[in-house]
Amino acid sequence: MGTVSDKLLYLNETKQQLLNAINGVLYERGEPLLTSDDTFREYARRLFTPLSLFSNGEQGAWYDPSDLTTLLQDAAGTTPVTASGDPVGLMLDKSGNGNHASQGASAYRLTYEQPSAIESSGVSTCLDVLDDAPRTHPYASIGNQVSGFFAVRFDAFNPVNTTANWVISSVVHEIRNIGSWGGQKIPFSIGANGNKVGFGCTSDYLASGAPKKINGVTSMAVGQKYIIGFVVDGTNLTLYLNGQIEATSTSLGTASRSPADGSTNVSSRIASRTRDDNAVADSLIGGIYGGGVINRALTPEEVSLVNQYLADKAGVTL
Amino acid sequence: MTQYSQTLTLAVPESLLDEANHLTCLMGESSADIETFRQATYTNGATAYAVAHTVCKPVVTDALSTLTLPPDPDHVPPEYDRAQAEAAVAAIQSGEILVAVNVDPHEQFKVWGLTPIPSEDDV
Repeated sequence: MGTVSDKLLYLNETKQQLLNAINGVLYERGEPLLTSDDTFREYARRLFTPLSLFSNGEQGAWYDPSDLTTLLQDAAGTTPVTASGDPVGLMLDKSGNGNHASQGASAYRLTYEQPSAIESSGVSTCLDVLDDAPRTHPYASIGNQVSGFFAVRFDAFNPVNTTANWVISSVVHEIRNIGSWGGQKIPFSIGANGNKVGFGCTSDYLASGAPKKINGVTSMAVGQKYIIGFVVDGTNLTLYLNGQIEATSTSLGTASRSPADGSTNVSSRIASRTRDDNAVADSLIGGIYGGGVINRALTPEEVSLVNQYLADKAGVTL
Repeated sequence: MTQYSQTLTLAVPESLLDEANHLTCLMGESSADIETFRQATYTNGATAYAVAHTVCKPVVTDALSTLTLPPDPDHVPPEYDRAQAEAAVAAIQSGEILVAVNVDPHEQFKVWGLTPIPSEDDV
């Protein structure tokens, strides 16, 4: 027991030790240091990296186009991206899960734009994350937990429910014979539906009921950057725009097939979605400044930290 | 500075997808380029088109403007057929395959009278 002034002194010393420790980390990262005027909330924000979300071995992926060491011109990864306008044939996953996104066809590649974006023309542009081994995968959302957040810019909006600017889509392929694809079902897609943030799940992925189309309420503007995202906790969906809840759904239903049942496998597509015989459809017209997907429901505190992190990266004011 | 200083926009009639794929394999940088055109997604009301838009090096636009094909690159797969690529060049010359350089692809599709074929998917 001590006096109040003793406790305040002790608290101040603890804060100083914490400040020094965090500044040591920031110094190693080459980032600006904290000062004694910064709040504890700022301490947490500055220390956070999305990679910490995967610290318990969670499946998922995190992409950061501002890190040029993760971008390569060709799918084989032989030529680094170095300048604006270079094609991006391979974008490495920073989560440690090896879910790298690639594009073999030259005409489908996105391009890099300094300092931190990959640009999509909206004409069949996409990067694919392929998983040829059936397993439990983060990209199957309904009936599972999954969260995804991306910093994006839309350069045009398509008509509502006609085509959409998809930022990432999950695809479950039903394997009928070894070496050939069967039906394809979409557990989730997120992007812009019209000028609202939109989430979709095809009806054929659900055990019953209509397809799930959930749109936000806030109108987005062409050319402006936003942080879009969603959290599915296994039953409910929460849709976000710039860290604020845009829509919720409490009746997502259940999946008709499990990606872990050995009869399906899952891939995902960045900046577009699949259509019919695996053709590319409804590509994003705009840019992606980073983001990722993880196979659990993020907590509200994690949602806040991820949004602030992406906002700092993309230059978005929340 | 990037070497990919040009952009190329193409619209290929459904009947010429194979020929166009052999040309993109010849002009491209990967064996995967032989699967560039997979499905027609645009139409002018009479003909369905597969479309593509890509950054490229000037050597590609130069070759297409002179309709002179370079030698076969090392990356071409066994199924590649130069005769098909030459047929695609002939289709460019005849105006069946539409090509534009350094344009906004979406504006160019309008100029060509092409509109997206609505998706039947339910997302």
